[in-house]
Amino acid sequence: MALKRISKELVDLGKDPPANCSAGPVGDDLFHWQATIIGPPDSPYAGGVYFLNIHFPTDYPFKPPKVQFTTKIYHPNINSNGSICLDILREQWSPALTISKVLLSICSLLTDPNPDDPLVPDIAHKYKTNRAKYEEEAREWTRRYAM
Amino acid sequence: MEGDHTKSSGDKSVTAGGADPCDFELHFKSSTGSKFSLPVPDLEEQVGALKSRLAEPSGFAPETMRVIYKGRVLKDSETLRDLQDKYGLESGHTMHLVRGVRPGTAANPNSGTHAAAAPPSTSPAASGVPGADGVTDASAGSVPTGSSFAAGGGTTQTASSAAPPNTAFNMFGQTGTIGWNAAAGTAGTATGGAFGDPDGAGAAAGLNPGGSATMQRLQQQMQQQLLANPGAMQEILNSPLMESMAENPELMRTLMMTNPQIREMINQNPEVGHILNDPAVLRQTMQLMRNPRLMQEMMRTSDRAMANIESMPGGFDALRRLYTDIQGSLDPNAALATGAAAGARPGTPNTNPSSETTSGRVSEAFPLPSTWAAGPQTGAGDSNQHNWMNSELSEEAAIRATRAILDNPELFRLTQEQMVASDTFLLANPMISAMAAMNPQMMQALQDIQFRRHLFTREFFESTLAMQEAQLRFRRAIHNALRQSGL
Repeated sequence: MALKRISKELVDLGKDPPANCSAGPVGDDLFHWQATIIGPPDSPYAGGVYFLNIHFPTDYPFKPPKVQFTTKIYHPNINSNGSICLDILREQWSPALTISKVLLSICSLLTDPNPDDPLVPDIAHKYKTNRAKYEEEAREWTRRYAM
Repeated sequence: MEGDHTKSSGDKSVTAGGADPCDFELHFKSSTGSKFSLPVPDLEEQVGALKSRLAEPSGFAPETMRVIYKGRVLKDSETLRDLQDKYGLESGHTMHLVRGVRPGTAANPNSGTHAAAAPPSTSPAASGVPGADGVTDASAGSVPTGSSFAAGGGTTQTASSAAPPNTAFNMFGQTGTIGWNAAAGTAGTATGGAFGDPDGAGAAAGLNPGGSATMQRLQQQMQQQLLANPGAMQEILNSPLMESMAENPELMRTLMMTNPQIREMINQNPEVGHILNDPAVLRQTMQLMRNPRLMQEMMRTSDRAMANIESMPGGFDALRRLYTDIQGSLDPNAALATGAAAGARPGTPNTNPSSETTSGRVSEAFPLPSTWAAGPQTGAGDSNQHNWMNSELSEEAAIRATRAILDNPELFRLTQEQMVASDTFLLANPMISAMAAMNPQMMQALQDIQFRRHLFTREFFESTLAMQEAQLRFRRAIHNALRQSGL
């Protein structure tokens, strides 16, 4: 079941991936994927390429995939381990969601961080109180780690 | 063949021209938002060539362009056929294009000091004028056959799926055993300082992107300095300066990120980025360099090389001739070593009966014509019990033989082919196999013939040899010192 669904997602992604996202299996194991997100042009992450690791649970799509950044990113909802604080990856997961949609959600999270539910309070604080400084920092990290 | 594939893929015939039997078309989405398609007449086309064709429609210069497919940044040396085999590329699939930062432009803001130290020779590649220096860039960045280890972008690209191998192999490349290119630069700086050498500035220049020739020169300089003073490397590595550098991940990272090859590697393999983020890993790497035993394990690989040469048709005879005719008369031990080597490969045609009898006896105990006869921890350690051989002399003989191979283009080619063809050769090294076991990507790289092809360059052999020579000299120095101090 999980395998069939994952294979289907893989085929769909090959034919028509979202504009800024790309994903595929790391090796022969279809349950372990890698993905890239291209920093959205209207964000301080523009120009960066972010790598992510995706692990599908065996009961996918009934449980959400585990998605993690492997590239460092300065973002209120993404911590230094690459963990992402995103509702659809936890309690808001739905079997109707796909990896493509998850990646797109992450893209929009890059454009619009959610500082009210932060994973890194410092960055969230900076985002709220000094947006320019946050953007400057985020751009610097992008240049340093994602280019 | 391609035609078949296209049909079987059930592609909804989006492909344009039906005349060509291989209707293979790829779609591209650029980070600027544009979309376009490109026919692929030949699946053997390399990504590098594809990039050149993409330059016009995308508006990105090929050398800064990154092509992403299925979550990975493609390497210039990969062919579309590889992608088909490995990742299931099909006609009608979509790839993403991103403009990367020109090598040199990104690094400069956070490495002003290094940039300042750069000699003019590196400036053309670092100038960042699009187009004007395209040639320089291409040769540094996208030619997969780039020969120098530290400077060969090609090697990095082919090996990009494996950071640890790079660490290891660069250690081969440098007598001083520093792994990362940038770390080498670091040590270079330290060396410059430690020796009060005016080339300190040149050392820093090695960190500067594009300066591949400079890097090579720098390495040679470093090697010479280190050869002249074998203890120096240990000293440098043990120095508080290095310690503090290892403790300061930000500094290490900055140093490394100034190296375009490393940046490229990180682009293509995010895990490397993680490694660079982890001070513990950096420290470990340094410790590994400081640990002679680990190094020794790595260098044992070169013995395997010798063994492989002997197993080649004609290779052994050439070796033996070199030993017996040229060196043999001067050095009876060398002849013995040849005999031992012959025994290691029973299938080797051996025209010299006398050496065969010698070797028969020796072979079980001494599988390799070993540099490591002296090392009790290594597999060849048994030979310590055999007093008949002076390990140092045999080591010297091995070095001479390797040099002879390098001097003989035909023989060298054979050696190279042999090593490229064997996918177990590198894994025979316990150190490398341990690393490969931990890192599946490295395993993959080692088993990739392309990777090996790019790995076993002349420079690779030459640097390995230089390292062996340095080791020998180092040991001699210790022996002499021991003898002179009456211990």
